[in-house]
Amino acid sequence: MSDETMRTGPAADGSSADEAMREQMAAYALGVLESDGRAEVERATAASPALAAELDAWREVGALLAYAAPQRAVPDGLRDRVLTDAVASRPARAPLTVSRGAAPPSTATRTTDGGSASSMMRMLPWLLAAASLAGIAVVWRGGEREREARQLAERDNKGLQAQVAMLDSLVATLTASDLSTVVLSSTGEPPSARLYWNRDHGQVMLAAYRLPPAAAGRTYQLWGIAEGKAPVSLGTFSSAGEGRNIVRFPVPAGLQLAIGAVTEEPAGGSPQPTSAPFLAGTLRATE
Amino acid sequence: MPPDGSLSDVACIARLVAGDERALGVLFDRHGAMAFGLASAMTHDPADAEEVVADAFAQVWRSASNFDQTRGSVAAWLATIVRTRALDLLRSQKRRARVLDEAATMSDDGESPALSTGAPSPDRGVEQGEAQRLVREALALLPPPQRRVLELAYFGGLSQSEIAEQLSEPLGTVKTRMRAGMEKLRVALRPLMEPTS
Repeated sequence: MSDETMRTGPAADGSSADEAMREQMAAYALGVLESDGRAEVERATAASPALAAELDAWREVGALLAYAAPQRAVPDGLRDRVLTDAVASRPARAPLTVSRGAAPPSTATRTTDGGSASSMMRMLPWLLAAASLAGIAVVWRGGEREREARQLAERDNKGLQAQVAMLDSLVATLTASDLSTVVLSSTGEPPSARLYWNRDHGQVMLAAYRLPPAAAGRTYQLWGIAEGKAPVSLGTFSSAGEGRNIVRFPVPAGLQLAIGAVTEEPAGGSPQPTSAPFLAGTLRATE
Repeated sequence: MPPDGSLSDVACIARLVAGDERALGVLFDRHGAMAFGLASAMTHDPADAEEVVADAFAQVWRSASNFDQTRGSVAAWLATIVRTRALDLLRSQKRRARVLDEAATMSDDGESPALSTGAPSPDRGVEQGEAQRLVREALALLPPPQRRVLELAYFGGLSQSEIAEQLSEPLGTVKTRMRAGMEKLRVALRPLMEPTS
């Protein structure tokens, strides 16, 4: 049997359509599938948990190929540079803590529609960003950092999951059906933005303030997130940099916005966010 | 108490989410050689490789909360970031022609200068050494045409059409070889893909 006719794995008994899809999935997993094919794979895997699981496995195979690269001695100084560059890109901080008066962590308040722990883990950066706007204080406590770090190490995933449960509860509280305004804000510094959701017209309007132009080859992307669900792209946009920029996008039918957020993505946008949001907010009452 | 080698990769990620940059040092000590080796194999330039690695770990630091352990290991996530950064660099510098030239120098048995199927380096941790051994053995067992297709895709970032053009092979043949190679690797590398805590 030649290489070209050899079949292994689940596709061995599958249809030619399945085989064609798996050929595309192999390229997708290696990150070399053209855009049309990518959309096809994403549709197929969204509709089939089995295909999605298979694609995940292949993506990990692709990542493991890194071990096939010949080993190189790490240059002197690279470790220091890595740490310096990383911290310069986002200052180190103490663990996130909740101010007095905020809802305590409690799994009893979990009200998501079946969202799993893994889905909440995927939403964690969004929830953290949203929670910062909803009254949760992100407290920088340099003096207590060592003690906090020790406590976190002891709790590891338990502590993280407790924070997720608390944020989950908070988001559920803030997502009543009659709310329709989302304030998007960074953590203290400009830019900021406000998102208006017109449910009757199925549109959102984003007004961004003092948003600098995206870097070359990059674009801004607006995301809508339903409770317990993955982010959905509402559209990409650019910014003139000064003053106020306003853009409008249609909202996919059936999408119940709970969180709005903006990320910077490669030109053309991404199917899912590839970076943490720099603007985000939960639905809140119209003022 | 500073983080040390006893922390799992996932625990290090939790530390990063909490803002503890020392956990990044732990991850670098554990995976820095893999990251630098991969970046070097792709960029063929030590300075570029350092740039890629620094950018990749900065992204890990900024985006640690995006890590989803249900979708793979920390090492796999890091490798994906390193590779993406390296491909971005290659494309931005329009140096893919060089990758193609080097791919064209492969010997007839499909062996590539970029890819090693030899013994793993001895001075690595047990887990990484085991990963290297399994990956290299699995690659060595692939038919050379399948291995070559995977090399061009993984290290050169070439699409199936570009590979077909480069190898003067029908597109369908390239697609079949890529899929067959990935299927075999998935089976062979299953021990490395079990869920980790």
